[in-house]
Amino acid sequence: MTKEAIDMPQKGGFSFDLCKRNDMLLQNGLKMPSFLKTGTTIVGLIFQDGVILGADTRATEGPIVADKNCEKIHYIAPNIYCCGAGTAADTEAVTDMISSQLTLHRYHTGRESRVVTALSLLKSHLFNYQGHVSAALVLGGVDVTGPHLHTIYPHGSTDTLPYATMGSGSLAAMAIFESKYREGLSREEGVALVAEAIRSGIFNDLGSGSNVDICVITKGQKEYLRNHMTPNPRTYVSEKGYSFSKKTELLSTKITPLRETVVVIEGGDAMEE
Amino acid sequence: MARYDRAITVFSPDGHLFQVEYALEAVRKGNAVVGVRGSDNVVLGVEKKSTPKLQDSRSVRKIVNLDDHIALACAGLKADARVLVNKARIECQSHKLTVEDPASVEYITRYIAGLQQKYTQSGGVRPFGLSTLIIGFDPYSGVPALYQTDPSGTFSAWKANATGRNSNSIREFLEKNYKETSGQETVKLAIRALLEVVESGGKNIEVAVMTREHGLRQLEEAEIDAIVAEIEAEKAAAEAAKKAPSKET
Repeated sequence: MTKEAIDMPQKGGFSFDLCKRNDMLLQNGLKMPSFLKTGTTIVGLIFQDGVILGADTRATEGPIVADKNCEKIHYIAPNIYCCGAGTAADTEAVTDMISSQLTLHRYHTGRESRVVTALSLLKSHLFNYQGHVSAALVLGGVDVTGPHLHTIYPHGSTDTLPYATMGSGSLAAMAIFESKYREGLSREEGVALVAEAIRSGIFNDLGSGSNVDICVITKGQKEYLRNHMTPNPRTYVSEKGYSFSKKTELLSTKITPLRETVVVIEGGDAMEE
Repeated sequence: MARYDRAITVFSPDGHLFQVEYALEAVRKGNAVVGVRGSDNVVLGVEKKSTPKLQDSRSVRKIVNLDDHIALACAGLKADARVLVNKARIECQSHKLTVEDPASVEYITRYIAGLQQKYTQSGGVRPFGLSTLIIGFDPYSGVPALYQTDPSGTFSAWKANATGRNSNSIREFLEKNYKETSGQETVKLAIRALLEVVESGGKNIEVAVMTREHGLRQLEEAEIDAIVAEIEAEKAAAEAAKKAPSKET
């Protein structure tokens, strides 16, 4: 009997097969591996020409800074970007998946993607996984219907707002927004306000730090300002340079480069087969 | 479901797969498609059989995108084409998600050819009745590529090729007149090849150019008309030049 050629569609959703085993292991004293969380400050606001998204760049693994300069503003479509807080792997995977689905959707419809489409795809995915996909997102973009800004929570609920903050530094950033936001901000004012809100998260929240990333989306154009501000520079070398104390006599100087430069000889003997 | 296990594509006593050969017949009845690879672009041209007056021609796109850097045109059963194109588009995205790299033209061609072959060796299905011409740029080396697949599932790379109606005459023309071209010259060569078998006029041809920077661009009817006019003028000038010396003798 020959097998059926047509592929059966995969059964989706979370597979609960290993949950009992995991519980048993925990009871027997196994320490669960910790996952990389982005204790984060992410913000978004709507200004007169579109949407500005902002994020810090610190990724933490418990009390350790795992990545000092990670990218938290993810590409969804040419006119839609998404900031992600929560488990880094979850935000990365979920935004990549929805980005692919939107590309296919664009080919099928022949139209520019809409923010509400991304919103619906994201929220239904997160709801299906009942909050186990730990991704809290700030989704923003400009489409034919205008600029849009949404927040999405790990269990799948969403809000539509003119200004929004998420992550562990959200209260610090929201304090800035609540006192300084007004409608019809210009681009410079908007970028300055977003940078100020992120800086407030960077300096007042332990889970956020390093640099400020900003993404400005307007009709037909987007500007990804990676490391727009670096308020936490690292100085590795003393500017004064190295000098010996006065009593030392310098006999000879030899500088050995630690990286070997390899000279490639063109047309060398090929290895025998 | 036991009734659907029997294969439809079986060998004949002298080693032919008749279903595949019949599928190739279907391709030969389809509209002409030509593809030409230039040094910095790749061009696809498709014959548009007379469109009924009431039909909205924009809904019948013959040259489609598989990804930002890969496009496809085909000759044969258009309904089969839709299914194949959808699967290929999903595969392009899947490749990007799993391997973090856009698929190369060869990879997607191999995938489509593999699909076409699977349907010649399975129970209860018939082969896809179409041959495709796949164009694109390698995502990293930027080298342009043109591939062809057919219902049997074979694929190969070409500098220029044609499939569908009268593909043999177009291929002969291309073999005689092919040279390394770039930019507008490649477009002209593709249109000249297509004009060998198609009545001239922008209404009957659909042309798309893929470049590394701008991806796939469909040419407007007016643009095609302008190029066709150029080609006719060149042909007329060549004819006149041929006649003039013979008159003198």
